[in-house]
Amino acid sequence: MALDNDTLKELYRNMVTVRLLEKRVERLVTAARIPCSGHFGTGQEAVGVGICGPLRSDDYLFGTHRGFAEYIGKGMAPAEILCEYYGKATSLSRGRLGQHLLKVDVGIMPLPSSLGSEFGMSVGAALSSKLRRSGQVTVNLFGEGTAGQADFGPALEMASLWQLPLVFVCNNNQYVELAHYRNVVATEDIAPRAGGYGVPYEIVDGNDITLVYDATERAVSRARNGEGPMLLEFKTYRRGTHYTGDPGGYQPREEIAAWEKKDPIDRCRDRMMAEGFWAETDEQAMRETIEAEIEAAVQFAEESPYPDPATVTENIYAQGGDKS
Amino acid sequence: MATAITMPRWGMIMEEGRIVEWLKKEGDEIVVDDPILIVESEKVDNEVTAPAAGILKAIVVAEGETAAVGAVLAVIASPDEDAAAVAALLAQSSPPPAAEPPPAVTSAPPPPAPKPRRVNISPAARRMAEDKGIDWQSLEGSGPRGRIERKDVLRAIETAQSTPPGAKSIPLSPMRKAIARRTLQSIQAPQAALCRETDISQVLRFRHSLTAPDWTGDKPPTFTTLLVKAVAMALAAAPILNARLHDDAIWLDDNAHIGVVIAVEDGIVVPVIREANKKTLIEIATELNDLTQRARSGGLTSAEMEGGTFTISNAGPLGIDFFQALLYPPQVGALGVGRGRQRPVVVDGEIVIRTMSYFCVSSDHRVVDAEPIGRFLGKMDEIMQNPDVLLKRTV
Amino acid sequence: MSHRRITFIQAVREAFQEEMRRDERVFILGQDVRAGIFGTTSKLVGEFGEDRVINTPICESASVGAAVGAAMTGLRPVVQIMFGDFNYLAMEITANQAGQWHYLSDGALKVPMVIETPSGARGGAGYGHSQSLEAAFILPPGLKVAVPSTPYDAKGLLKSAIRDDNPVLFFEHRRLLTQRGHVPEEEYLIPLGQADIKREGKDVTLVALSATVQKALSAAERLSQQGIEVEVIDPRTLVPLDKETIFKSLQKTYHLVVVEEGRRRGGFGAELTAIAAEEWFDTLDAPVQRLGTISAPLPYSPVLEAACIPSEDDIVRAVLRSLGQEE
Repeated sequence: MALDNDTLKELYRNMVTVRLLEKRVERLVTAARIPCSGHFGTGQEAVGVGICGPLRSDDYLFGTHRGFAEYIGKGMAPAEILCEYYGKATSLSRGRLGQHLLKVDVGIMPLPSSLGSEFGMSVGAALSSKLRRSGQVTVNLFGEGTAGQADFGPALEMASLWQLPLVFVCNNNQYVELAHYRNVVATEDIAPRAGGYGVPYEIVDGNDITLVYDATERAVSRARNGEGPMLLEFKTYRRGTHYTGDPGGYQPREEIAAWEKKDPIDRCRDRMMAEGFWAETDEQAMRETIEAEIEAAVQFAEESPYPDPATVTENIYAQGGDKS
Repeated sequence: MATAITMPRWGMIMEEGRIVEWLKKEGDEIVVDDPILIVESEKVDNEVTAPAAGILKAIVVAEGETAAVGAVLAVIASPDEDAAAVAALLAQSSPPPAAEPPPAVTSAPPPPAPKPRRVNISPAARRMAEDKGIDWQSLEGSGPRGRIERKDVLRAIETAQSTPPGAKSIPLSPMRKAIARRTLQSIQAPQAALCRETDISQVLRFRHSLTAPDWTGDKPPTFTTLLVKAVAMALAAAPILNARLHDDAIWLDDNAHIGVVIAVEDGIVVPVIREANKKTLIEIATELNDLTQRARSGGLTSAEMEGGTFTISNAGPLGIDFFQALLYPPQVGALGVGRGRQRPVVVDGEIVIRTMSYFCVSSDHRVVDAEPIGRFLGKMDEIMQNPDVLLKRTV
Repeated sequence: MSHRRITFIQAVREAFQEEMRRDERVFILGQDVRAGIFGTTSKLVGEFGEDRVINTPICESASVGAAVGAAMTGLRPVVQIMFGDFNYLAMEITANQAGQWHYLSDGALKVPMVIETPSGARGGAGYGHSQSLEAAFILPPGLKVAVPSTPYDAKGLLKSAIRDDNPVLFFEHRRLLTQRGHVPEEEYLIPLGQADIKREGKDVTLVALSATVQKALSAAERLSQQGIEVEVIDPRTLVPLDKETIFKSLQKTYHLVVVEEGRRRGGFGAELTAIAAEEWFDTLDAPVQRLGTISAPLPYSPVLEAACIPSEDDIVRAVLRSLGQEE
């Protein structure tokens, strides 16, 4: 299934939404309108948005803490994200999750605060869909830093051993918290580690959304056809800091400037314009719509009530269980 | 439109920041994203950039000062901005509501209640006592460290229920129980009581004639004070009476530690004046007075009531003529003194009026026979007739 | 009603068989579950196939993680942790993930799974293979904890645990595994959160867990000869805890003793004692007596191991202390 123009426009729109929404939320964090700190991903939007392109809505996605790309990509609305960040009663979790975005009915699965704890869970989701013969694929997106977690190897092992419909996606944005990844990651590339477990891998330019889409499409089709897991490593770059308020300074200006030239949104737009199916007027109209949507979402979140404290003990345990 | 520059929040834990430097001054023209000031938080120093374009109209927080997250630091406005809009922004001094924790509920602490006497009681026993209207403060506990347990309360309930009609059941107080134990213990000893009528006229006169340095008090010494000194001296003449019986041995003491029976509200206590034989009348009077005061306020320690070698009980103030004092094992002797009464007596063939009193020694017959008691009472008589010897310090 | 006597192992295996026949969503994974180290899962692969009895690589955290992921997506996994001690390897997943996502998702996710885990000291296994860690799972939210003491309880509780929509820790004391007990042929369930009075008595309430239930019963026999009648209560699950049954007993005896093989410090006994102090204060006629393993690593020598763990004698003494008959 090749990437057609309409799909590319949709992916482009998602990337721009992510960029604008992250900027807006960052301002709200700084202004202390929302209680958490933020982790944003300016410059790496193509990965999260692109990998969701080939996914079915019932495919499982385990995402990352950075930015909104895969969450917008998999079908979360800006208002849903904002209400979670505000901790309002109108959020999907009724104020319980904050940054740990979750939307089960579009396949967005838990984001553990202890990054890497999802490796086993994604194995379980993939095992489950295999045992149920549901045809669902699980995508586990993680950063190059999280590849250091204990369950990474065993997850590759289990996925390979049981030939699970599981696609591991490493979003290598070159910074692990407050340092360049080579301070804490021994190898230039994460992907070859998959080879040790008999899992095929590809290393792909993560700032070209068409390449991201195509590579994911190949891996997902393979998985859906019962050919087992794959690992994709997308090379990209985090132009912002680790969190809002991080003083930064550890990323060389020239490095940031060089990656600005490879901005995935600019590249996508230039390509669409060059190919003649996107015009400046389209751009203007789209941005105005997105900004209006975001402002409406902010207003909705602002005006939403906080949860009733009496709900705090609800749903600690699932009631009933199997009564059949 | 006027725009406020507020204290930013960087990271999850920042609550306030300090202005390190203003990079712009009032009146400067501002472009969006211009660095305006540098703020220091717990973790970082960082620039705050302009959220809007215009003129920096007012700086509210000076360099070096600290402001809470969300507090207004400065106001940017267009050159023709209405002064009222700027003032309205400046009036926002508190952080926005999202950052505010709900108000804590506080109330003044209640005044401290007076501390009740500490009685150990198990929670279940207390609950039961309160349910049944039993005054558990007066119960004695049979549990570890004297803890009152349910069985103690059950016993008290039983006692209360078995009280015959028309009678009121008063539980024995701890003091009465102690007295009960001691008297029961006392009657285990085979006792004899030997008495001698003694002329105390001289000593009573002596009592009122004392002057400094022998006596410094406002009032004359009490008769008991004189008795303590006299007994301490007389015991030297009969050392076997200044003794304690332990199993198969008699412990004879070098010094006389004299117990004195003192009546208190619901019983008696017997504090001990140690080495009374070495003390002056003044010292004995001072000590006895202190012990008496504290006995009546319940302030005696158990150590102060232990270790006596002989006990004096003066029942004269109660109007008693003649009685057998209680022996306090392991002591082997106690002196009971009755009231002094004027009587006609024959002295050297003439009938004269003298103040007479019965001195009666109770003794443990296992240790003491009549002879030393006779000697002791004779010595007491001698001292009573020649009270000046009471001024001597050592025996 | 039959009077069949089978081992604890057989009882657990029967529970697996019955539940796996009943519900095809139930499957087992863990290290060597096909062979079955302690026998509870042995021979199941023959009936249910390799898809439903899955040997995992040696990684407890990823195995429990896989169970969580499968449970969230429609299956009802049972993951075996071969020794209770190894639960710490998966503690992050159990405590931070398994028990929390139902709440965090506001009910959108359910995590119906069982962690089956042989545990406890049996002599000779030493450090790392002998601990009783059930109390460590009282602390994280969202988990249930079962600690059966008889084959009958094991079967009935395990079947309920498999059917429960929450993660349940199921501890099997290794000293009990080979013991026999009455288990009827007919199907039955024991609800989670229902204590069992193992022996009636009027003088002291003795709450005991897992393998210490038998020691408690022997101690109660001895005390009975001295005229002291001990009521032995097995809560069977620590979460949910059947406080009512314990309280009812305490309202009769006014004396509480709690014994466990887990460590005394911060253990189940500490929790129960706190509950007693908070909620049952007026029914305490003496301080609560609390017995558990000392806070030392469990040593290998059987003599040293026994010195760490509460014995029948210790229980007798604790009951007497409770009654003020021994300081």
